[in-house]
Amino acid sequence: MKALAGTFVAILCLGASVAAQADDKELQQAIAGASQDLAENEWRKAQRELDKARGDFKDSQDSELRAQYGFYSALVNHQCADDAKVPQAERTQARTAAIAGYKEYLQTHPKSGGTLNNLAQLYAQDPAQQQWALELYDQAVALQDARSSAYELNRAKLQGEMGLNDAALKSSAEVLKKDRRNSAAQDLSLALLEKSGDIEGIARFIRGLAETGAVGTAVDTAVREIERLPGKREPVLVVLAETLANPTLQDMPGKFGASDTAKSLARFTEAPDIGGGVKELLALYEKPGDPRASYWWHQDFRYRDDQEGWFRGTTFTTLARALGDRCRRAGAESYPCAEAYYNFALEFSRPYIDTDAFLALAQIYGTTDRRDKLTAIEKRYEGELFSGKGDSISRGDLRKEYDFHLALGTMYSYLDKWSNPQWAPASAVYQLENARRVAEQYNRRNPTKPQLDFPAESAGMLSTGYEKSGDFNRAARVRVEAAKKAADAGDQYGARELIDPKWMSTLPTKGVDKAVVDQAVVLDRNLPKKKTKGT
Amino acid sequence: MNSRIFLGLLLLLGCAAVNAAPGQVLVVFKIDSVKFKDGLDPKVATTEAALTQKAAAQLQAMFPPIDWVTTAPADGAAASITVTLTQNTLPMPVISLRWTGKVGNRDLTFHDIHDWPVYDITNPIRPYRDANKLIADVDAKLLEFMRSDKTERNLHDDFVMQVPLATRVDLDMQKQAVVIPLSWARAKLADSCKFRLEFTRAEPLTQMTVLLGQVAEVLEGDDRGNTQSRLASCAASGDPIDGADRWQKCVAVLATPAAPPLLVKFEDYKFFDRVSGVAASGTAVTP
Repeated sequence: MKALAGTFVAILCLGASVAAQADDKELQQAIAGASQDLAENEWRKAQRELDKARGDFKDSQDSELRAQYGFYSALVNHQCADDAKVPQAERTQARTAAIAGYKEYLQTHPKSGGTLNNLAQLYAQDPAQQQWALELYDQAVALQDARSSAYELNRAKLQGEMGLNDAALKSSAEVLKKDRRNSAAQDLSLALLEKSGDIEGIARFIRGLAETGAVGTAVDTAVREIERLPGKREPVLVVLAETLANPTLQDMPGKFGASDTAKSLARFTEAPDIGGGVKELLALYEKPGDPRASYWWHQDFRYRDDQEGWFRGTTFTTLARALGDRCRRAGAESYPCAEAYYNFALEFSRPYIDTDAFLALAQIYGTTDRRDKLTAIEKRYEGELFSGKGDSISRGDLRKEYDFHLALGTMYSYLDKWSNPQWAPASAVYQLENARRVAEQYNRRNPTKPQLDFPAESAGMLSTGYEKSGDFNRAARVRVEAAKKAADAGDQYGARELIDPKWMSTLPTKGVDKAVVDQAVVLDRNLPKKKTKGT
Repeated sequence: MNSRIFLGLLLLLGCAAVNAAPGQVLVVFKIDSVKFKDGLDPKVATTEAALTQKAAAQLQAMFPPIDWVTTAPADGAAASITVTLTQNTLPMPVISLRWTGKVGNRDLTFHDIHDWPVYDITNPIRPYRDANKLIADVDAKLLEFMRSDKTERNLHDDFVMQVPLATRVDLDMQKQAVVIPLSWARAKLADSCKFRLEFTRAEPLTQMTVLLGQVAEVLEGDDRGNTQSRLASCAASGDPIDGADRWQKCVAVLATPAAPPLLVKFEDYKFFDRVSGVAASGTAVTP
């Protein structure tokens, strides 16, 4: 009988357990449904789901499930408290209930980042409780869970509201560091900078946007800030021009006038602070005119790459050159447009030569076989190119010096000026020799930086230069050294380009060091045969 | 042309494009520059393969809802995009990247994406024979251009919007929600994203365009983890359909046994690396 009673009790217990499990299943479903509704901000639907399962919640023995029910009930109240359509009294009541619900959940789950964050959001609504909110956000952020950037952004917003601008900016910057495309963090940072009236900070922020790829956003933001700020907007206009020169913007200059950016800017041509700059900017896009008429921009040129600031002159030169690049890339029919912008950049930047604009112009003249033009720009800017090179040498700026040597060397090669008995520097050989020397010097001094690579084509050019001037020994040495370097680096075909059969057949045996000849012969023997095009 | 035949033709063209794997785009990288072709020989094919991988990886990061594949699926990809390394005729040639695209057999026009210079005239170093350097330089150039929001918008408007993402949807008739078979976690959709359903309704014969918004993750049921959306607007052969029975007229037809073939495309895609479990208000929706 006793055994039978035991069995009966066991069956009763099992029945109760099965029933409880079935009830928990419904409770689980209700919680899942409510969580879906809450994710869509449908708190009323979630409330109905949870209300229907209230009986199951009371009966459930599963403490975790009960806690979850409590969290989602608190979240229903939280969303109700945030719902502007709900009467104020009801919202206040909901807020109190949400706070109580979250606190209860935290008792058993003290490391729930979501709950700490939500509780902080509710406390943040009351100025008297904002300090608590800040502490809760700190706790949530410190957990470093997958949502920490969301907590961090909320904290930044609160810090901003509390007048802790520097801390808010720091928090917001942290979020942007993790997710550069976070538009909420971008908006917040900008709002904080505006609040503090930090115009240079705004300009730096816009520059940062462009540097991280948000070029379109940077342009729109700069224009918006020009509209919003009352004055002293010079850095913002400079950073706008800087962004407009970004290579990822590819529209032809002629299209700019019809853009929203141009239309917005056109309203500021009479502004005392930036009116002149706006007028000159719009005029540059329309048609590059007289560079001497760009007064507003013609000041502040950057002398060194590492200088920080708002360099109007350098920026405007860069923009003019960038517009020239866009025309050039559009094809030969747009070369006149490109030439106009390059010429503008060169004249505008005098006496600080823009080597890139010069090289681009030289290439166009070279391709279109206008030797007269090529000679004309050589004459006009040669002095400034040398002066720029001299400046870079006196500053010890090897990187820049290399650029000048290579630009001059390449230009003289185009002009077939291989050597110059009157003044050696005005020759391809001299400049290319020095480019090679400076590259080696730079690489020795900066072993951890990206190395300067003296191009094999330039080595070939230098060798040709030596040949033209009758120095066969050096011609062979330069070529063989470059070929050996290429072969040692695994570039067999590159080496073969330099040591080709035609060159080998003309290699003089007299006047060339035997060691160099021997090395050339070994290379010729070991290098793969030159391939014929199309095979 | 008879409108019935025209709509039938449209449908046929649409289906031809998507019977090939929807949501998959074949990425191709071609080296057309003669200097690089000669210089890299016999490593041209392997270099192209490596660059294809690089381009696909960057496109994947930029538009994650699409599957940017590097080998053609058995049924063919729904679309393809080709990046070509070109050179011009200057003495020191400018080496650029050129974009072309196709959906099905239709060539697409890229209106605002011009050639991207990799080695411009101001850069004298051209690694004609150095595959590794070329790969690194092209990858850096792709990154520079592709992380730009301007490029993102241009690629979106000229290409991504045309790519068929799916050929079926699930309907939640009770909630009046449309579930798209697209992983929510992977798609990284901003709240402003919109989908476009295109299909031909039989009676009366009309070309339907249905826009879907209010994107959200499906948190329960068989479609858990997919993307849910709601009817935003609807037009029959260009005429807007409004009113209380809009759902019935525009979407419910897809639940019938005689549901017409359909295409799902993006009307507007905006990347948002959403922190899972947080609403737009910054409130955590899970503990």
